[in-house]
Amino acid sequence: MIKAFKLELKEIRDSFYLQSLLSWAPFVSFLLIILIFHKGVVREMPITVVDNDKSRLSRDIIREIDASPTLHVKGLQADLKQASTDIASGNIYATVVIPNHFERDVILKKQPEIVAFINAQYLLIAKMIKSALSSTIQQSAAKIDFAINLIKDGQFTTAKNATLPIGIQITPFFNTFQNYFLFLVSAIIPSLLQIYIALAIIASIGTTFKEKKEKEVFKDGVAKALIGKTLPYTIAYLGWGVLFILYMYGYEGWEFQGSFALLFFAQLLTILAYEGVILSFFVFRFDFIGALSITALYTAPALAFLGITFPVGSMPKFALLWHNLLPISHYLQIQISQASYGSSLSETVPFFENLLMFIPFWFFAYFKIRAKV
Amino acid sequence: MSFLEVLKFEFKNIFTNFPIIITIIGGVVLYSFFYPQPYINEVVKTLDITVVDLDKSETSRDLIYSMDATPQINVLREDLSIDDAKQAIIDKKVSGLIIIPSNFNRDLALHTSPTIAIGADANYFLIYGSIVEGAITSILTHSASIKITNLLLQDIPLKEAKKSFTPYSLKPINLFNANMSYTYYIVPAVFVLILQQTMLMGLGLLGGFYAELKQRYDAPIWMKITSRVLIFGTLFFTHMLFYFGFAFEFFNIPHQASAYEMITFGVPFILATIFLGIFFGGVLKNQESATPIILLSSLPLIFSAGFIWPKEAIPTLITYMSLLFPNTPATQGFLKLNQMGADFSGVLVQYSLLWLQAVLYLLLSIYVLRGEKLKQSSIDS
Repeated sequence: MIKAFKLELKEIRDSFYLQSLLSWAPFVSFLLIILIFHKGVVREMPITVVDNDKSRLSRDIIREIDASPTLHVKGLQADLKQASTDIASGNIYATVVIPNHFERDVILKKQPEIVAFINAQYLLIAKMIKSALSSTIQQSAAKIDFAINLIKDGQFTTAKNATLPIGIQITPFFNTFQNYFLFLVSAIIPSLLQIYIALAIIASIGTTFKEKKEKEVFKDGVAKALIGKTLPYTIAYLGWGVLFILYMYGYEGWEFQGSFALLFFAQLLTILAYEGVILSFFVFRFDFIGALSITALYTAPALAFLGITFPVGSMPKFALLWHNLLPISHYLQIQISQASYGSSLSETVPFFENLLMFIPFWFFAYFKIRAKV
Repeated sequence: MSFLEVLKFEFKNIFTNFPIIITIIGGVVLYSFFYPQPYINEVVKTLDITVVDLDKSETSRDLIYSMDATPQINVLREDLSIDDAKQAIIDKKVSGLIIIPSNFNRDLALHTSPTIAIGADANYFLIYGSIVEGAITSILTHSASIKITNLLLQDIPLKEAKKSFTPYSLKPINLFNANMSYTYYIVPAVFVLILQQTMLMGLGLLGGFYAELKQRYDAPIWMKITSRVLIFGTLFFTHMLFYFGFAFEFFNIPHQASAYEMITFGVPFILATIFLGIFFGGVLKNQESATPIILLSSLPLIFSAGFIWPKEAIPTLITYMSLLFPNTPATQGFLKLNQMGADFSGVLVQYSLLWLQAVLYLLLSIYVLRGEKLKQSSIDS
C-alpha cells in the first residue's frame, strides 16, 4: 500500500496535469466562483419609471422606490414604448408606470393601480424586483391610508390598526439574511470538487493503463495498490473540502450548528464514493478517453440535480433517480443538516447509508482489474 | 495535398475518432434532453406546511383554510409548539410553518393588529419564496376582508368600504416569462453553453489527436482551417437549429425570433467558437486534456454570463473576462432575440463582439497552427 502510494506521488511529481488538478486549478476556479457571488445580495437593480401623473404623490412614490436597497431608478421615461425597448435590450430590468390622474384618483378613492412591467426572463432578478416593489408600494399605500385614518379618527393607534388589521412577520430559517453567496457557493464548490476528484482518478488510473504500467503498479496485490494509488487524491481533496468548510463557516462566519468532525467524515465517504464510481467507469472498458467522456456526462450536470437550486420534490422521476445516483446529493444533505440544523449522528444516519451504497463500486473495480492483470 | 484531400483527411479523423463522435453528436443530442430534466414539471409543486394555532378560534380556522386553498400551500399538519414545528422542517416533513398567536381573534376584535409569523427553510430559496408568497397572499386577502367588515360595522356602505381597503396598489406584469417558469429561465441559456462547450471539446480533441499523431500532416493552414469550419460549421448549424427549433418545441419553450434572425446571429457565434476551438486544440499536447479543461470551465462560464446572477453584482473584471468567450455575448443575444423579442438592432453590440472574437481567434489559430507546422518541419529536417 505504501509502495503504491509512493509510486503515485512520483507520478504526480512528473505530471503537470495531475499537479494542476490538485493545486492551482481548484484554487482558481473556487476563487472565481467566490468572487462572482461575493456580493451575496442584489442591490440597485436599474429600473425606470413612466410618470404619467407628475404629481406630488407620484414623485414621492418614485423617491420611495429609489430608496429601496434592491432598486435604482435610473431615470424617467416619457412613454412605455421606449421603456419596453430598453427592457428587451437588457438596459433595465423593469419599468413602473404611474397612471394619469393618479393623485386625483387616490383622493377620490378610485384605488388606482401602479403597473410594473418586469423582465421575468431573468427569473431570480425578477423575483427580487417584484418583492421589493410590492413591499415599497404596500408600505407607501399604508402610509397614505394611515394619514387618511388619522385625519378621520384623530387617534394614532386606532389609525394604525385600521390600516393593518393583521401584521406579518417573515422569518427565513437557517439562511437568515437570504444571502445568495451562502445559498449558491455552498453547492457550487462541492459540485466543482466532485469534478476534480473524478478527473484526477480517471487520469491516474487511465495513465497507468495507457502507459502499460499496470503490471508494475498492481503486482503486489490489487486491493492494496488501489488504495495506495488513490490515497494521495483522497488526502488532497479532503484537504480542499476541509479548507472550503473552514472558509465558509470560519472565515466568512456563516452559521454552523453541528459537528465539523461529522461533516469531514462525510466528505471522506463522498470522496471514496466518487473514486469507486469513477474506477468502475474505467474498468468497464479500460478505455481512457471513453471513460473520460462518461465521467464528463456524469459529473458536469450535477448542480442542477442536487435539489438546492430547484427542489427535489418538484423533479420528475428520472431527475430524481439521477439525483440519487450522485454521491454529492447525499453529501449536501449532510452539509446542510450540520450547518443549519445541527442534526445528531443518528439523525444523519440515512444520508450516510446512502453514501455507503456507493462503496460496492470499489469491489467491481477490484475484480475487473484483478481479472485484467 | 490538395484542398479536397485535406478536407477528406480531416473528415476521416473526426468521424472515425470515437471520443470526438460521442462528444459532437452523441453528447449534443443527449445533453439537450438531459439538462432540462429537473425542471420539466415547470412550476414548484404545492408545498406542505405545518400550522401552530395558539388561538384555536373560528377566525384562525378560517385563515388556515384560506391558506390551504392557495396553489402554493398545503396545510399538512398542526403542531402544538413552535419547537415541534421547527423540528418538522428539519426532518423534512414540511417545508414551512405558520404561527397564529394566542388571542388572535380577540386582538382582531379589539383592533390591536395581531402578528402572524411565517417561517420556512431558506436553504432552499425556491421553496422559501413560494411558501412566503402563498402565505402573504392569503393573509392580505384576509386582512382586506376584516378591514371591510370593520368598516361595515361602522355603518359605512359596502361600496365605500371596499374602496377604503387600500388607496392604491401594485399590479406586476411578468414580461417574456409570464408564469415565472424555471425552464424558460435556465434552458435557453444553458443550451448556448452546451453548443459552445461541445464544439470546443470536439475541436480540442481533434487538435490533441493531431498533436499525438506520429505521421506527418503537412498542409497549408488555410486548408486545415477551412475544412474544420466546413465540417464543424455544417454540423453545429444543424445542432443549433435542432436546439432552438425541435428541442424548444419539445420543452414548450416560447420563442419569438425569426429563423432568419437566429441564423444571422448564429453565424458569428459558430465561427468565433470554431476558431477558438482550433486555437484551443492547437495548444493542447494530447487528446485527454481537452475534456477536463472544458468540463471545469463550464460552471464559472455559466455564472459569469450575467443571466443567472445579475451582471451588476459580478466584479467588473470578471464580467470583462467573460466577454472573451463566445457564450457570453451569444447568450445575451439569443435571449434578447428569441425570448424577449428584441429587434436585431437591439443585439448589434453582441453581434459585433462575436465577429470581433471570430477575427481574434482566427488570427490566434493561424498563429498556433504555424507553430505546429514549424515544429513538424524541424522534426523532418
